[in-house]
Amino acid sequence: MDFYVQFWGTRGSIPTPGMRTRRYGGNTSCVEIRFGQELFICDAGSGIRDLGVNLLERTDAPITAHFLFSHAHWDHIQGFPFFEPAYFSQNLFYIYGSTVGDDRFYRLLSGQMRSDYFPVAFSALKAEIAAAYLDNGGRTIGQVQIGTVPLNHPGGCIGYSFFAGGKRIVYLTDNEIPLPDGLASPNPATGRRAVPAALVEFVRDADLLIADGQFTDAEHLARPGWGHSSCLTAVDLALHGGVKQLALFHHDPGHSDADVDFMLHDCSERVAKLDGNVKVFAARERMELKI
Amino acid sequence: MATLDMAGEGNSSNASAVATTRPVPARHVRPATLIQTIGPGAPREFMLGESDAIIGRDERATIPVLTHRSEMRSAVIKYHQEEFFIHDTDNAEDLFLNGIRIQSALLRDGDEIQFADVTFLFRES
Repeated sequence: MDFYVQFWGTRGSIPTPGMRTRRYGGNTSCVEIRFGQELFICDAGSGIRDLGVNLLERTDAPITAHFLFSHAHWDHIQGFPFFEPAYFSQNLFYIYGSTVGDDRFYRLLSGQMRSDYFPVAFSALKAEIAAAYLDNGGRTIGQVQIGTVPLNHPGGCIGYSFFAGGKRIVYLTDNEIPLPDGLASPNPATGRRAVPAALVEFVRDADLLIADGQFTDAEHLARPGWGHSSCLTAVDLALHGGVKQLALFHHDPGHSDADVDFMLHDCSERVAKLDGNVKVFAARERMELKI
Repeated sequence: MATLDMAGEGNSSNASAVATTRPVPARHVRPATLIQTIGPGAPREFMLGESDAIIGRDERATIPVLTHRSEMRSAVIKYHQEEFFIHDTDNAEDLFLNGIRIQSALLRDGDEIQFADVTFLFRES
C-alpha cells in the first residue's frame, strides 16, 4: 500500500492569490496525507477550503479525518471554518493534541469562530468534531505510526512523521534552523551546515520531507528569530538525514513564482555541489504524489 | 432569462422594479496546447479543451504516443473548474511533472510533462 500526499496550500503567513503566485499557489498551509482508509490533514490554512470541496466531490460516504496541527498561527487554522465537510453530520473529525489533556487546538479552532471574528458559530458545525490525543507525542492510527518533534518557531510548533508500509513522510513546517554566524564555514569534510541532531534523526531516510524553506540565505540573515529557515539549510537537513525527496514548503508571501524557481535552482545546485542524492522541488497547490 | 432588477427594493424614492433580460454569459474555456517536444513523432501539437485528453499507446488515446516502450500506460488531462489537471490513470508511476513523479497535478504554463520516453510542454494562451 502507498501513501498519497496532496498539497492544498503551500504559502506561509497570508494567502497571496494572483498571477505572480499562480504556479505554486497562494493558499496557506494545508497538506492531505492518505494511507489506505486513513486520511490525515496537516494544518487548516486557507487551502483547506478547496480540500473540503474536493472531498465532497470524491465521495457521498461519511468522511473521517485526523487533523494534526503544527501550531495555531493564523495561516495554519484560518481555513477551518470554510471546511465544508465539517457542516455535514455524517462526518467525523479528530483534532489531536500532542499529549493527553492537551485540547489547545480544539479550543482555538472553536474560539476563532466566536461571533467577534466569524458570523458562523462552531456549534453550527454538524459533523462530530472530537478532541483527541497523541500519547506523549506518538500514536498508531490504523496502520500509520505518527511521531512528533518540537520545532523552533515563536510560540512553539510541532513536526510530524508518518510511517507505514515501509515508507516515511515527514511534515516539518514553520521551523527555524539557525544559520551559522555570517554563514561561517560549514563542516569541512562534508560541506554541509550543522543542523540539530534531533531533527536529523527525525527525518532519517524519509521518502518525502516537507520542510520550511521560506527564505534565501540573505533573507534569513536579515530575519533571525522569525521562525523560518533558509531553503539551502533545508537542503542540508535533507542531505544529513538521507532523505529521498525534499518539498520546499511555506513559500514566502513576498515571493513570486519566479523567485521560488530561483531558490529551487540554487537548492538543486547545492545538492549537486555537495554530491547529494536528494530530489528537491517546491511544493505547489494541487500537486499529488504517490509515495 | 427575464429577471427583476431589485436595486430599488425597500427604497421608495428609487424607480420601481424593472423587468430586464440579461444575457447568459457564454461558457469560456481557457485554451491551452500540449506540445510534444521529445520522443517519437516530435514535434507535434495538440489543442486542449473541455473534453478529456487521453495520452497513451492504446486505441482510446486522443493524444497517441508513438513510443515503443511496452510498459507505458496512460494519463488523462481533464478540464475542471476552468483549469487543466493531469492524472496518472493507470498508476503506472511513469508520469513526471518537471522531473518529479506525480499522481496528479494542476497544469501551469511552461510545465514539462514526461511520460515514458516522451516529453510534452504545456502552454496556456
